[in-house]
Amino acid sequence: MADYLATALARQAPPAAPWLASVRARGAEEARRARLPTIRDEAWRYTSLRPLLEGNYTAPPAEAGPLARWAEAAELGLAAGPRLVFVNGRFCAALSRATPLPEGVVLSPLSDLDEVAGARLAQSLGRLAPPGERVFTALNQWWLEDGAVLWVRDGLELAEPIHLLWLGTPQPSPASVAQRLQVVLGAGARATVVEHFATGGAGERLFTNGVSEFELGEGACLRHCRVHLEGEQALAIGLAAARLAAGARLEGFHAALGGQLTRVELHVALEGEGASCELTGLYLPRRREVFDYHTCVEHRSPNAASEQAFRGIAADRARAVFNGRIHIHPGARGSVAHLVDRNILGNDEAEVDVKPELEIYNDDVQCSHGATVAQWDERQLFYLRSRGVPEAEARVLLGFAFANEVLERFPLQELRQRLRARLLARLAVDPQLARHLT
Amino acid sequence: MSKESIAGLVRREYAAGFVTPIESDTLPPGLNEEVIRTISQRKEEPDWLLAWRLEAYRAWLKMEEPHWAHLRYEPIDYQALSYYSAPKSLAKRPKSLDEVDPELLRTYEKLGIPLHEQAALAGVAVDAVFDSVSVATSFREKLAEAGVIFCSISEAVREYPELVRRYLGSVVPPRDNFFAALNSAVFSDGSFVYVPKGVRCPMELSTYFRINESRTGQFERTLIVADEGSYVSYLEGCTAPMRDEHQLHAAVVELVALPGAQIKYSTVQNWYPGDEEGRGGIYNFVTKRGLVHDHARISWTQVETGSAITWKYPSCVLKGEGSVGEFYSVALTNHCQQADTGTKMIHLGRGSRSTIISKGISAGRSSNTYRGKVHIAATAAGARNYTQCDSLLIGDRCGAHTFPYIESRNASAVVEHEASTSKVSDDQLFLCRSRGIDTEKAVSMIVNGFCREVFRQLPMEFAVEAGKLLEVSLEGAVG
Repeated sequence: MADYLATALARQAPPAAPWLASVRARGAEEARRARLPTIRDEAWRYTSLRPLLEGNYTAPPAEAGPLARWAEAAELGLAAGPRLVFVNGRFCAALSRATPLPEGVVLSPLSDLDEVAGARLAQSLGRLAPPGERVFTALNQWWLEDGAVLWVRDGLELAEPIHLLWLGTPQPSPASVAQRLQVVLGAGARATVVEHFATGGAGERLFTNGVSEFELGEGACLRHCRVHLEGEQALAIGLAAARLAAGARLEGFHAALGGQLTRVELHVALEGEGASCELTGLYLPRRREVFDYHTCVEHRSPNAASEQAFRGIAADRARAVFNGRIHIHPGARGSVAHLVDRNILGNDEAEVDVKPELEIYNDDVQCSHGATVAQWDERQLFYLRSRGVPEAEARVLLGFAFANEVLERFPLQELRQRLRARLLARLAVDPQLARHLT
Repeated sequence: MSKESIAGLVRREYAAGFVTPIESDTLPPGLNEEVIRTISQRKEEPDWLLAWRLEAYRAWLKMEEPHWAHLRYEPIDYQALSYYSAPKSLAKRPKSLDEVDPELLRTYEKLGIPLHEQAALAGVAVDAVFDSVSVATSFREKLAEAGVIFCSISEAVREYPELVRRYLGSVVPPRDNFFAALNSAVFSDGSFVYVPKGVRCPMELSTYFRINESRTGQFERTLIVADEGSYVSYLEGCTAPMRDEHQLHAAVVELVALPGAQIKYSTVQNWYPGDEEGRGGIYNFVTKRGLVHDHARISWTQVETGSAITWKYPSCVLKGEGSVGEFYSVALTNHCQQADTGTKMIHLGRGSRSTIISKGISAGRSSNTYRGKVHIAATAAGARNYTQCDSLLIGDRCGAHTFPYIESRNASAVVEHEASTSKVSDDQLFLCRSRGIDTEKAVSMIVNGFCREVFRQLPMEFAVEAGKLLEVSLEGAVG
């Protein structure tokens, strides 16, 4: 383990602007003090880092080669709006799409930031995700080469969704890359951001270590979609941390539909009075995949509200992990917080580990959580079979219905369609049946 | 809740807080192999048990005190405690209750424990443990008629060595955890119950634990074996004097329910909780576990109102096919008390079922945590669990936490968990008050209603006692 961190730290960083060099130095400093978590650490008890260590994912990524091959993977069907594509962590102008943005909006890859903007970023980067709190955040900073920022001035509303694609390509040897995003919405600003993780082709032995930070001003509203559609050898460990001022709202939509190990940590601090957040998610590991969602919603002010609804299906020999936490701080009176996590365990080799948590320090609250792990509903199966649907197909239908209910809540019609297609492929639906379902 | 109107609630003292002036034979503080040898010698134990204790002690030396619980407390100095204390008058073992020191009997009378045969009306057989040793067991003959063995564990070691040797440590092995290892090394006394095949134990069995001496730890060990198709209901109660120091209590309870047997284990835990500022009180680190064979059932019911620190997870290993585990708990914390309690249901057998109902009430500056684990092994086809955890907060300086762990590895199993946290509802309070019920009474009624599902599981007399205990413990909580 020490070896992993040592190798990760020994990595030579390419030359960078002074502001980026300082960010990296801070990351390295913290990483030197840290250690990798093991399953003896509470937050990692169900998720082993063995794939990362055994896979030796330490080197920096190689050049991507001809880009045309990956263009298809870049498609999420979002016809309108700007798109920033990062191939193996580096901005790729050729696959990206620029659209005119209103005055007061900055949407840019880190590598394009000028000195002033860079300095501004260096100051605020890590405010919501301090590198000293988490070893992967520290490594992310140390490896940082590129990333995206979206800064929106007070009161502005972005009509079109912003598509950010983090694309991995096949690597000659296992490689690791940092992914970074910072979104700052001024008071009353509104935006929709789609974070899309994908890999092109086979043999994409890439570990994506991501950190996203969302700072929402008073009354701002962010719709954030984060979808993981990576291939079988890709690893992703990511943190999305948000801080909401009074009256701000975050709507988070999450889907994990691919990747050998996908771990997403969502940390939402409802800092201001009346802030609210809604987190919706779907995870469908199969084969030997491990998908792990860790959420933590902190109510730090009065009258904040949060809703979390996640669903998962674990099949084959896969493992689904869900840890959902609600933390009500002293003084956060009038808090309303609910969480529901429902799981289907497809077969006996698969595993589901769920830990919903409530930590409450105020009496004026309405909080609840519920979690279930079960099989397909026998009555529903019976109903379908009594109408002549073969059992295997009935299971697929029920699985689709169960998961699709979550997808239906996602914004953007094209995104829903794209995810639905991916869902059907995951459920091994035969094409004939799939046509009826989409 | 209108806080001013509730402010009138009077504070009542911890009723069991007195000290009995009794001469004791107490070992000087400190723990080493010599102390363990002395304990074993005083209890005239066989060699195998001494070896067992020493092995546990050596294992304990290599273990680390666990700190994963949501608890904060001063480090425990294990060398500052005395590991053995016995009332001197018991040095020669009494043959009957008449020979027991009257001062001791008065203590139990004060506590309302029906030790005397006169209390036959209560119909409960009692084994009383005072500091480290068992002082008296009542109703021996009547139980013997039914073939039920109910005695102190020291006595069982002498009289029924095969049974004790076979089952001691079979559910909670000496190396199970830090506190269980400590207990295995130094356990002083406790109760032993054996119910033979097909016997329904004719009365409730009860053990009453009392810590009296200062600077002593209490480490009792209870072992209950219910043979095939038998039934037993067992209740334990605990109290301690009020002292400014913290005292350690680290018990182990092992239950074995052989095929078709049923064990109902109820606890009313009222160790001294410390004063309003958190001075004194018992540190309660307890390991309780039952092994449930085919079609057997173990039911844990606990009412936890005492102790400064509670670390306790009565669990069931549902090994047998169709085995059933139940956990009903009311945990109340007030002032500076901290509780981290819950259960583990380990489903191994096909068609095993478990139910968890936990009610946590926190008031004052206390912290109350439910921590539970439901594990469905791949072998537990058709297993079923239902968990419900509700927390009630009284006041805005306390904490209520819920940390359930759900692990499922069998597709045909169904696990359901739900939890809620809220305060005493203004509507309910208003309704009561508009009908002329004063606030104090109303809060008490609402809290009692909140705990109803658990109280229903207690033997009747104790349900009444538990309700009262809750009322007393809550006094001074609101306002």
